[in-house]
Amino acid sequence: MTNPNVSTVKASAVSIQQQVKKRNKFSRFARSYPLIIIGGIMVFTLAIMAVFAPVIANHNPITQYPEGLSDIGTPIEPNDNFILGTDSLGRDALSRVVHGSIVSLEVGIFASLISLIIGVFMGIVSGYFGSWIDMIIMRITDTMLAFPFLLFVIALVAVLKPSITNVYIAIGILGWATMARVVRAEVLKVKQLEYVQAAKALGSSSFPILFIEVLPNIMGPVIVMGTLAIGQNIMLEAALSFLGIGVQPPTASWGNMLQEGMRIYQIAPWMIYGPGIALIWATLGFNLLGDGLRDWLDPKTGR
Amino acid sequence: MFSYLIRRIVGAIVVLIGISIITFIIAYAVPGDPARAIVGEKASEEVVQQVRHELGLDQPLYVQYFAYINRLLHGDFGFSYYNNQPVLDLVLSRLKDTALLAFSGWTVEILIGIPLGILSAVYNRKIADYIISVLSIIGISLPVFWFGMWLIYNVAFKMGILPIGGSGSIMHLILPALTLGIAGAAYYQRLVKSSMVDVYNQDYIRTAKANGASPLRITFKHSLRNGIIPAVTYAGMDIAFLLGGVVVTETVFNYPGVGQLAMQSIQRLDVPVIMATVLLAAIIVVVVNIIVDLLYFLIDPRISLT
Amino acid sequence: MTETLLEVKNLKKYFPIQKGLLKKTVGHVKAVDNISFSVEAGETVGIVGESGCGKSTTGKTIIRLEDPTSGEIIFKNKDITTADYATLKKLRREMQIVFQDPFSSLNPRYKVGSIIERPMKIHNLYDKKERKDRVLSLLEQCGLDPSSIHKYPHEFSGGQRQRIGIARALALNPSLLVLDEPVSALDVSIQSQIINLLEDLQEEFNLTYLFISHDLSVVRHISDRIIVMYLGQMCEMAETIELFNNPLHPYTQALLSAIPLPDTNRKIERIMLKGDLPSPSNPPAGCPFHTRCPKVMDMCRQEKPQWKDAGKGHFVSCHIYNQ
Repeated sequence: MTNPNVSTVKASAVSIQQQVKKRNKFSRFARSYPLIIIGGIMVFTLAIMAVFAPVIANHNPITQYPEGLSDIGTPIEPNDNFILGTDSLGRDALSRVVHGSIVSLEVGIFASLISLIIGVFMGIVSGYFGSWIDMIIMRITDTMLAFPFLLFVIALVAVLKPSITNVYIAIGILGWATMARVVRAEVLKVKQLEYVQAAKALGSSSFPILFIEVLPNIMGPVIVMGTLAIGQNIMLEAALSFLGIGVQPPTASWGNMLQEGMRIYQIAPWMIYGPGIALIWATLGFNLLGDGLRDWLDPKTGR
Repeated sequence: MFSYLIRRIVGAIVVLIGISIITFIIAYAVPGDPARAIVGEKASEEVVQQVRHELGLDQPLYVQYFAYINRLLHGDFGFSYYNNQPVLDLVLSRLKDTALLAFSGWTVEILIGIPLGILSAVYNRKIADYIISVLSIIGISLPVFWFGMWLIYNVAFKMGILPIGGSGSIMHLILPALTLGIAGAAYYQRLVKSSMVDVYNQDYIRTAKANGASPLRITFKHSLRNGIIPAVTYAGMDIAFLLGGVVVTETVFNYPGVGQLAMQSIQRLDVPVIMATVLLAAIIVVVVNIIVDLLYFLIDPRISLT
Repeated sequence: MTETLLEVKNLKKYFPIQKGLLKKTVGHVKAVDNISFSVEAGETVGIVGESGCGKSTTGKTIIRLEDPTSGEIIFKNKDITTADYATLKKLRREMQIVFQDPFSSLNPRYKVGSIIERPMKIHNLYDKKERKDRVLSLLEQCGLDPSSIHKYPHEFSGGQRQRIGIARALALNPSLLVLDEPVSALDVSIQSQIINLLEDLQEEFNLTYLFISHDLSVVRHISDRIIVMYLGQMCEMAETIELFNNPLHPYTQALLSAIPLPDTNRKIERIMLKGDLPSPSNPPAGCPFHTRCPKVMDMCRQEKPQWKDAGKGHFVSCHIYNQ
């Protein structure tokens, strides 16, 4: 007869051992790839800020508070009530910065997803099928890359009418060329490996080969590029909104807050810092995470 | 070599045709009626029709496209809807200032980026390298327009040592050039560092070390020469980046260049000017890229251009 | 009792060399140049030659991984030279290939279980349970542990990985197996294990092998007949014992002389080949081997030798035997 307690104790001892093992593994990982951890934490705080924006912000981001303006109608500098000060309409800068993270993440993620999907598809088709398909797609990417990207996006958004959706659509459909190039180069490497030939010999047809055999083996660079793209696209959205052709007020975006800051920096310099630091936090977070992921997943193609 | 050049030029022409089609489609999709915009709200429908006909706007899309290309080939970029000046004059009058700004930005990139790259390669995995790397990733993450504002507020407004905006002297150029060049400097730093570190790990450098070559000699004689090659190739990509940055920088500093013109035209939906600036930028990028490729060949004889 | 499983007639595979602005074809690499032979059911035919002689391309063209330039491939009395996609897919169940490199022939992202199961999934064979049983029995037959199904390829040694590759190839129950240098990448001690496994499997499943290798001593163990190739063409074909006892072509003689022999009574002088292998894009006129042949005659430089029957199923392509 075995005592059931003994086995539970044993089991829990084992599970503690496993936990310790796991923790060791994690700390070793953290020491080898500190950028993933730092960048990951920065991105995570950003996500928390966006998800819990109404809870975190202590004011409504679009309400123009009468007490948010001084007697002569100028913005109020940071104080206990308005922690990051107010803008020229008496709105709370902190609440607007917090809500701005929603726009930034939305545009950053959706724009990157769109260019990721187009880029991966184009790159994979061009790399795998080669010949004239490859030639046409590569000429198109050459064309896309020859444009000054920012100017092109500005022109397209202006034509489509500025809005959050149009901003990420414009960034997304114009930004896939680099991704396509990278994916194509990876596919060219992978497709000559024998397991791809083996799948062909086993009777698999082109598209299953592409998606079952090739795609999983090029995901490393794709994840890295996707992460870096989110940071770049957040910056791009801010630039568009700053130029007045991105997200339109009263919706809070860091870019349009900075546009206002540019106008009133002489009397309200805090309007440069709040949204500016949030923006740098976001782009820096994704860049660090992307660089870290590259060291981890894709050590060979690091810059 | 010659056949390579021909192939590159044919490729460039294909790219330029693609760009002209895309800009044309975008311009065509612009909402609003340019004819109405020209004659004003009060003009009668007949006048609008007449203007539309004069501009060829009532013809099928492809006819308009070929007419457009035909005019371009004759150096006719049309007239600005906004102030009725020839577009080419408008753009060319501002080109000099923009070229100056782009060149200054590029100088900042090179002057800051390459020395820092060398420094962090020589002190790889030492404290100097870590500091430079942190600065560099911050530089890459720094939004151009925000950095420009920050400089205006702190250097121009508070310290008052440089002008807030405009153009005309070297002093006017310093802040915009810094703004434009800082992110690119960070890219050059990373590029130079990683390719130099790669070279350090090559056998021939180890041999040179074993033979007693001094670290300085290794750096400047062997490593730098090879490390600089990717930096030259990057210059091709860099020109597109700089021309994009120019739009933002010129707007922030109220600098009267082509970028500011492009931005204003977009806000006014001044289609001929938008098309001309985009096309001009693309031509510059394509031409610079061909030059860079040839340069690349001259620097690194191992690359065969076939 | 014997029936012909595979017949190859005048098979050619040329790869175009393209150059210049318009991708003009300026020449061809004649990887396989006019090859004919047949394989009986249950037999093992070895193809040997130096690397670059077109033996791998022959194998890949026969199972239609490459499209032949011209010629005929007849499998089970059916012409499959220009088989369309649907026919080809059915054919895949009958002919399979094992690759040389055990490290790149298995997709690193999948567990061994799903790698071996994949072919059955592609062809919609059996239900889930049956597939799993079949994977387990294939693993056992190929000498692998059943727990292997939950492991990734990188957890195995080269020899074990080659066993996985063989198990995958057998999953569809093929009758013809093209073995493309299956042991060349392995340690010598492992090679004989894999060869033995292949022999056991052949007996068990009544398989026909086309065994491609650059190593005559490996081919000798397993083959019933051997084809010697040089620059995309066939030099000699004979039953294994006959070929080893009575090599006719100077190239075969040179290859054989390079094998270390355990039998010290037989003394063969080592024949050294001079010069390099000519480029298959520009093969020498006349006999392709004349540039390196120790017994070269004037005629060899001008005229291509005929494929000649030397009796007892021994064929050779050499002017020496053409009188």
